[in-house]
Amino acid sequence: MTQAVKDVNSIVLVFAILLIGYVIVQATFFLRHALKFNEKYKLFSKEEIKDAVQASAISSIGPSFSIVVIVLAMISLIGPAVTWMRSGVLGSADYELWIADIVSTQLGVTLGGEGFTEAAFTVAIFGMVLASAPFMVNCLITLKPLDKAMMKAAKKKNSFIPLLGMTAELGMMGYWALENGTKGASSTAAIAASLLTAMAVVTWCQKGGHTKLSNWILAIALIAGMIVATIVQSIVG
Amino acid sequence: MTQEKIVSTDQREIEEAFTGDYTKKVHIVGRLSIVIVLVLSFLPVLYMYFIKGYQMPIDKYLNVAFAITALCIGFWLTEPFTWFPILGSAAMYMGYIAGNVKNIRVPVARQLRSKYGLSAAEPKGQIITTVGVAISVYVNLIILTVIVVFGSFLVSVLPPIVIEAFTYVIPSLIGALLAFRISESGWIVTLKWSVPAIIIFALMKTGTIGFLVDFGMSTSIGITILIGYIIYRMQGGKAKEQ
Repeated sequence: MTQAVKDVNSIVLVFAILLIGYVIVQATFFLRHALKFNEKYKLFSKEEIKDAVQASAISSIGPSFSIVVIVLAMISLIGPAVTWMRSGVLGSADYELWIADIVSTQLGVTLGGEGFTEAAFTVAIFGMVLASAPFMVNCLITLKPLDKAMMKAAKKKNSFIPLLGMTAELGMMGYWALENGTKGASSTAAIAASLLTAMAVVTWCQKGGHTKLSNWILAIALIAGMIVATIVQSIVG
Repeated sequence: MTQEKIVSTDQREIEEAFTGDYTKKVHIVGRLSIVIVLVLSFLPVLYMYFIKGYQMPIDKYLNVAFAITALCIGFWLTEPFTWFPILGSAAMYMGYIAGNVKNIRVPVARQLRSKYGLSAAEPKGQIITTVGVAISVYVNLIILTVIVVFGSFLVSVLPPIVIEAFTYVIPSLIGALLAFRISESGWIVTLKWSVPAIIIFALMKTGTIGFLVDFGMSTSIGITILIGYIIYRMQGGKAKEQ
């Protein structure tokens, strides 16, 4: 890590703490708001909420590790504080690294290299923030009207909304599965193994009423997919 | 009969409270949060440029801004629309501030709704999605912090095969999410509604609509919704998840 990268990281740390602190504050507000509504209208029992919290925590662990490799690569190039700030707020690690690379190419320097001065790094951070900010501006403008339209449609006797959710999901899932599955035999094996494992555990939970185990479905399926993919990779090379 | 009436009155009261005060507050706080996070995000750049004097000519900034706009404008315009029907407003505000919408927020929301058999359109589905996504923000930040602080150490102690296995988290995640949909709608419905995605993917790969390659997923979602809507209209608004 160059001195310029170290210097900028020591400055950014304070801003990173502020930003990540705010992310936590916002999540806490929405959590409390939902829980208060639930308490008033008794949609879920206390046990169900506890169970949902546990299920969400377990389900978040596996996907969070999808960024390990890319985060480590980012740290070696742009330092820990900037990586922490950019991966924890507004962005995702791979997108941020891609943007940082585009910026350094535009400036004619190597990301994290000798020519990557404090001034160049400032432009890179500007680029990373700029690349994510319009997503939020889009949300700022469109979420409220979208919500109103959805509520209006949901009030109809035969609403399109349930079909909208399913078509959106399968439009996404189908394409995402093909995009990843066609990358190689090991990726295809990962999809197939986790699909079959999740199906088996879901059926087992539904038939046997194993509610506690149902919190672990995603984690179990991820581990099965990763193990099978690694075995396939070692066989096909 | 009386019981049914009470239940439907309660249901109406819940829906009114949810679409009224609850949702209004979600948008006020969500929008305010976006403004705050945008200001806080640009603050380090302004500090380093004006206070620390880490300056480059403005044309460098403009070049970067043009390059990023040209590359990302399609994502900026389409991506948030694609996740809204799956997540709903509160989870969208959290997701777009904390990031990792597709990889973390969507899977958590899907697992929870699958567990309780709920849709994103109903208040119960929205409440449980909000709880799940908020928890995922905490967990993800804790894990991210651990990776940032101890990442190099972890890599040195973990066998290389484990590190390699992490590259298969995403395809494994896709398989699990497909399983949730299949368990809710069945194999036939899932396969039937995956056909538009398969055709669009094939058209992208063969270069027939290669100009849309950067927006493959958004195109797939948009077309699948459109087909769903056409069928819904053709059946006089009676099409359900079948």
